[in-house]
Amino acid sequence: MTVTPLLRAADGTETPLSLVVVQPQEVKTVDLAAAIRNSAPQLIGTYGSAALRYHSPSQASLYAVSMVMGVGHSIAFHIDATGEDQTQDVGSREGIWWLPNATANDYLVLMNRGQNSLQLRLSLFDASGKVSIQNLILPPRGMNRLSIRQLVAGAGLAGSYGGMKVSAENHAGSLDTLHVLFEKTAGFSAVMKMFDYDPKTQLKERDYAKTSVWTLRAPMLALSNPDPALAFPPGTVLRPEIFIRNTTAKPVDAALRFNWRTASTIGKALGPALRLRPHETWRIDVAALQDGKTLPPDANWASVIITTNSKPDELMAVAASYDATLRYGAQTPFSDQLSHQWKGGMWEYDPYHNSIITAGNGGTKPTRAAFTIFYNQGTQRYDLEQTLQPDEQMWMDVGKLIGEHLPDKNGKTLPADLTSGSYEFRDLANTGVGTLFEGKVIYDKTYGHVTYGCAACCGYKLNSVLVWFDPLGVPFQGLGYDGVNATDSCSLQNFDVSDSFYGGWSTANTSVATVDHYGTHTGVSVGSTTSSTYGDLQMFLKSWNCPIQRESPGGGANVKPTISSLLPSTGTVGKTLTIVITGSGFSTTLANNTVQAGSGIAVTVVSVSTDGTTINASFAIAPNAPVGSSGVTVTVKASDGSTVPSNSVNFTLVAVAIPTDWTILSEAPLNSGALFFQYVWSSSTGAKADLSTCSVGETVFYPNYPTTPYVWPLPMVQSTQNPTFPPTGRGSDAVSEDTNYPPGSYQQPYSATNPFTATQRWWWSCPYYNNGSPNNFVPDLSIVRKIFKDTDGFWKYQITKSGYTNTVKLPNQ
Amino acid sequence: MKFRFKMLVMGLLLVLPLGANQQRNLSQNCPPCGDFTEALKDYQRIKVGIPRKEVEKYFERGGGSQFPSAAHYNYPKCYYLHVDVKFEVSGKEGKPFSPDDTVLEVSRLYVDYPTMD
Repeated sequence: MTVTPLLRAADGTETPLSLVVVQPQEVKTVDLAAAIRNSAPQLIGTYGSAALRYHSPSQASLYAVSMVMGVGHSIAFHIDATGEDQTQDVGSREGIWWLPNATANDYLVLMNRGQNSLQLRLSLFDASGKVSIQNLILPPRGMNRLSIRQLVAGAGLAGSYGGMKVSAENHAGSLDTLHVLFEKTAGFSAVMKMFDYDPKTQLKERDYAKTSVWTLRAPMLALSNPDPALAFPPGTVLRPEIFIRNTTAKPVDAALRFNWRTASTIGKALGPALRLRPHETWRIDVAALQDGKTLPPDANWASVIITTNSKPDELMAVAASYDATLRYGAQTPFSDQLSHQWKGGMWEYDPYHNSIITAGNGGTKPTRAAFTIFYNQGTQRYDLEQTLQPDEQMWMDVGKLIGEHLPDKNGKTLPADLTSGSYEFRDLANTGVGTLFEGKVIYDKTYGHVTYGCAACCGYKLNSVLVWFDPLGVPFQGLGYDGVNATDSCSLQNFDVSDSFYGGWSTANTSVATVDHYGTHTGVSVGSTTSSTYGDLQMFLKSWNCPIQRESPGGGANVKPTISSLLPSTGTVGKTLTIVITGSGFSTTLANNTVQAGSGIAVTVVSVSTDGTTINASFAIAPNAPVGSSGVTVTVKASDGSTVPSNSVNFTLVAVAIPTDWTILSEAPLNSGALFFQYVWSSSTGAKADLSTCSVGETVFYPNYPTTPYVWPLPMVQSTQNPTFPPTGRGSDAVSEDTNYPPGSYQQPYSATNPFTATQRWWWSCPYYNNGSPNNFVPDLSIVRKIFKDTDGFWKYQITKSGYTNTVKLPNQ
Repeated sequence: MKFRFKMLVMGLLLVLPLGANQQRNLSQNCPPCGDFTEALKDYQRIKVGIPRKEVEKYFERGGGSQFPSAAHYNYPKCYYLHVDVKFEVSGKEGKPFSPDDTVLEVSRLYVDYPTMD
């Protein structure tokens, strides 16, 4: 994929940078500081945004994140790249402001991604919900950088935290915001994640676990006792806290749960239940909960789960864990998103960095999670799989995987010198609406800073959910199988998502076709109707947002007459033949059946059976009709007046009389152990007498041909000429009999043989056709014989041909 | 098609490449050499013009394919003795291999492995 990075100044002016080509699953880095120095020095000392332009059927084909780092300081921000949503008019960005001390700086960045001016309303709330409002305008593609500290002071709001809302009545999908905190002296930085709020969003779109309760998760809250893997100085004590805000003008209830872990154990704990008044913001001191009653003092990590009676995004939360100096700390973002597939960005592992990646089961049933690391420009992979119980997480320390040479599920290890790559998660049990949540932190051992990263969900592409067949052809009184495919927005590959549509199938006219739970259609009567189903799939709506949508794919369903055979299937030019068309779904009213045949063949429908399974038609073949194959179809006029064609079956025209349609007339297993067959064939002229100069015969080839004789394997006592070439009959003969014998005797003691196969070739030749060379009637047949000990303990001889078998007990047992 | 394996009985009986395990078994099923005169006598009864039912008094239809217009027969006392016979079919509808089909052509009596298919 070719990507054009752009620098965009605060006034919307754009400066394109050099093109970047990104291979599948590859991670590429663009050094923006160097790019500004080299390509846009006029921007030095200013601020702006970065944009990425690329051509792809889906926005989700590219994952991008911007890392803003203070060189030489433990300051780093990760900023997810997002795309404009041109469909959303009304909405807001919801956030929480936090001033952790008297000196920390902050930026609230407002950005217009669209081509229209944005009229914004910025509302700041203190913790109790007291509000201060101001209006702002952002020019097309423009941005603004504000200081919350200054705004809060100017508004006379008290306290160190509260809420904020940036709302738009038009083009709200063009708005993006960022709120960051930093202090160079302390070496502190934090991202206060903001959330999109769309008043039209309903719970069913975001209830991924089907609990009827909106649920938020933060997967990696660093607790008071930091994980030694983070390499904080000994004795560092973190102060984990969670800010929770009610974004609405009505009371909202919320409850907290924790799934904690130490190096060796995991556990669950219930947290406090809250009632938040309108616009109120709470701070939960999680450190205080590590008193041994709620959470163990030595726990290192917790995933935090918040359930609420609010609608999606009416409640929001931000977590932060910093020590008293703010020098050391980590964050974990809250999200309600569960997904069947997550595409992650870059992980790092070197002497100064490491990455911890986790995925958890946010559903209510166990699931199977697959984790893959991609490396070497995306060409190599490392795969792990794990069954996860509800709330359970798989926890990957990338440094440990590399450093300890831990094998993946295929026994493969990661190269010891590997330093970066990308990753993905897949929910193997739930492919329609997934139940996995994810998290990642990269920590810097030099500065003690931990930065979180988010993977991007891969929903299915809008308008890509389609039935397999449109229209679906269903044989009369037969079955037609349909299902649903959808295009994954990340890989752009089609996936079978039929199981998400089980139980939703129906047809518009059940007198024509019915359909069962699984999409198996039954042809009831010849005619046309429509068939559709419905089901819930996770769709890619916009960046980082894969809500559940009800999809209703469907299409036509035509119940068709079916031709199973023509007899004869070969005709001679200049002759008139009666063709027996066998099948199903033909109209029992003669006039409602029309038979179409090739050029030069005049067809008259002579009769139809009362059950609609056989049509006798006269084919008058013109002397100049073209020799070769053409299709024969039967078109039936249905009761609704529509005309429905059958499948097409080949009919071959030849210039002379030849044998055709060799077939089994009867079969019988004989007491001797032999198989007995009667075969018949037709003439392309309709008259067998026309074949009197033609020969019909068989040749049987045994193993090791052309070595002859073939000695059958003991205990079968028999030898045969190889090949066997019995006398031939005439093309005008009415029938051929064929007896496939057992061996003349058996040698004791009996033993099992490997089956041996004789190949039987049936052929015909006519002196006036292809210089009398032989022509095979049908593909070669296999005659398979063996001796075996049956489950009843007796030794037996068995012969099999054309699906028929005869088994007899060997003598003297 | 021409009849295959037309061999004189007495000349070839001694040189058939029989496997060691089978020779004992086969000789048990075949008459001593002197009894071949009986087979020759029965063979000489097969004349052009006689009906199929007469042929099948002395010979049995063998394995493999058989046609109303052409059949090959085994001698019941020794399945290594064969004769191929062509018939003029009687033309009776729906009755192939009619006993009334008449002999058109008779091969020489010959020795070969039985046709098993």
